Amino acid sequence: MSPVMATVDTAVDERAVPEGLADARILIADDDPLCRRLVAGVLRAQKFTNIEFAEGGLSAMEQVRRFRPDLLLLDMQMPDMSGLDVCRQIRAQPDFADAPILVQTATVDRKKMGELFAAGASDFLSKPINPSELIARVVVHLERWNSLRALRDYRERISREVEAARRMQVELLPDPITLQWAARTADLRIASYNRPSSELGGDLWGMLPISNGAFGIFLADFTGHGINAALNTFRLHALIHEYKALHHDPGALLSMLNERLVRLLRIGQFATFMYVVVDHRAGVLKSASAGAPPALLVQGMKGRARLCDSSGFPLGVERGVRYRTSRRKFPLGSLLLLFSDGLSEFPDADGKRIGDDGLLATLDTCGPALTPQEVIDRLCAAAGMTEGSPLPDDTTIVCIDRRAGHRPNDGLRDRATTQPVASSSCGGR
Amino acid sequence: MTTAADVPLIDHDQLELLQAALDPGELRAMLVQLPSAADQALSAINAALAAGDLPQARKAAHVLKGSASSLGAARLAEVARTIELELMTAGEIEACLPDLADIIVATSDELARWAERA
Repeated sequence: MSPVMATVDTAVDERAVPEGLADARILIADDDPLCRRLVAGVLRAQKFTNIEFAEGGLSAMEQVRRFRPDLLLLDMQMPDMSGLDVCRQIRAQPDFADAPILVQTATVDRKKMGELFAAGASDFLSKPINPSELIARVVVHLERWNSLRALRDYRERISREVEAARRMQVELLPDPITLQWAARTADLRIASYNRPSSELGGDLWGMLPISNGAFGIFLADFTGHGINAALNTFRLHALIHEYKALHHDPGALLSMLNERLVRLLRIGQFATFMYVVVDHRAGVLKSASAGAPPALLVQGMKGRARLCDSSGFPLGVERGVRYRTSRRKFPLGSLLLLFSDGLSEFPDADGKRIGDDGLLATLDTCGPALTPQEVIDRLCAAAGMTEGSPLPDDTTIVCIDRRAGHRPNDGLRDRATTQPVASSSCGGR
Repeated sequence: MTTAADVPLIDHDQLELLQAALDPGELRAMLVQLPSAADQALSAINAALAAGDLPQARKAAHVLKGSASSLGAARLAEVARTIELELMTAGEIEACLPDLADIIVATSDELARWAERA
């Protein structure tokens, strides 16, 4: 071997193509067989193995469909179609909207160069062909294309997984049939609103049937939102159902949940939690709160909305916390509203938050003619929350309404004129 | 205005770039192939002129310009460029063709020598 040839071998070895690019599909479209051979020769010397050819614009279009190149080297001037037209037509195909197209041109005319990029060329290769420039541009564009595809694939996979998780999380919420059954049995109406600030949220609410028509309603709000908070809602859901024997006793249930969550949650993670047992036969609410926003209660037809005490450590902060059960009257004509702070802390267009007082004032304007769903809608509107508005925090509202069954004059229920119902909305879904 | 005679017959820098980047056998084969491709281009230009098809003559010159310049045949590429872009009439192109034929022969000899050395 001559000394010159030894130099050539060294040069080729030194410029090895990065791993993962050698099998990239490369289409060379040029009507000149010698130019096709030259470009292919340079690429093959760099270990590119997956090369095909097109002898003109039309065959380039056909090869793009058939071969689906990762990169196209396109001669600017071909007899049947100009390189610019080929470029425009390939760009019109969604699959190739971002694929690298390198146009080979001898021109240095700025206007023509502008047209080339306007037609969708990713880059150009000057003629006469400079092998180093050819390889450098091919490699950089293939790497960019690979990164873009990897990113897209990743995003699509994550989107699918997040969507699956979102569906699972929605399934944690009370199903409409169970809710309807509980509402009918207790002769009241239940409505809810649940909307996470992103695909997955840290809010969770649920209904726990107890006995004789009594049921428990809980509303939890984990710190943060997104996947971490959502995973914790699954943990909590499992724990709540593990302690079925405590569902009738809010204080005992919260104390037990706290002990378990303290051991499960990482430092800095915790949940506010409100649990209310609704006993319609006794006309009583039993509740316990773990740092949750206070429930709003309207007691009886003539009652005004007021805040229920809410105190106590959030769940998962400290071991050994004992939560206290409070009892309140919940006669016919009453209404109970549980909410996460996504509602009271929602910043309206002026950045103002409705707060607990604003919610109380709004609730006082909600006469018994309004369904619980309408009450929720009115509260959301008063907070400045519209269906399309992005939420800075996960938001859940549950409204339990005993007003529809009440006749002001005799205090009896009239099942013929009022139907207990359960409804729910998941804003935006 | 640059004339073909002002341009060196061979662009040695370009050939060295190709030598560093290509399999030696493949480069030799292409250098051998260029003169016959140039002869074909000359025939195509003649045929196009005979048919009165000036654009076709220019297209044949364009193809020759591309391969000649990339394979280091600088003067051949310059004649092809002149035919493609600067000569306005069929008569002017026709008058240029004997020069083109001579340059093809000279290029062929020089490339053959270069290939042997390599």
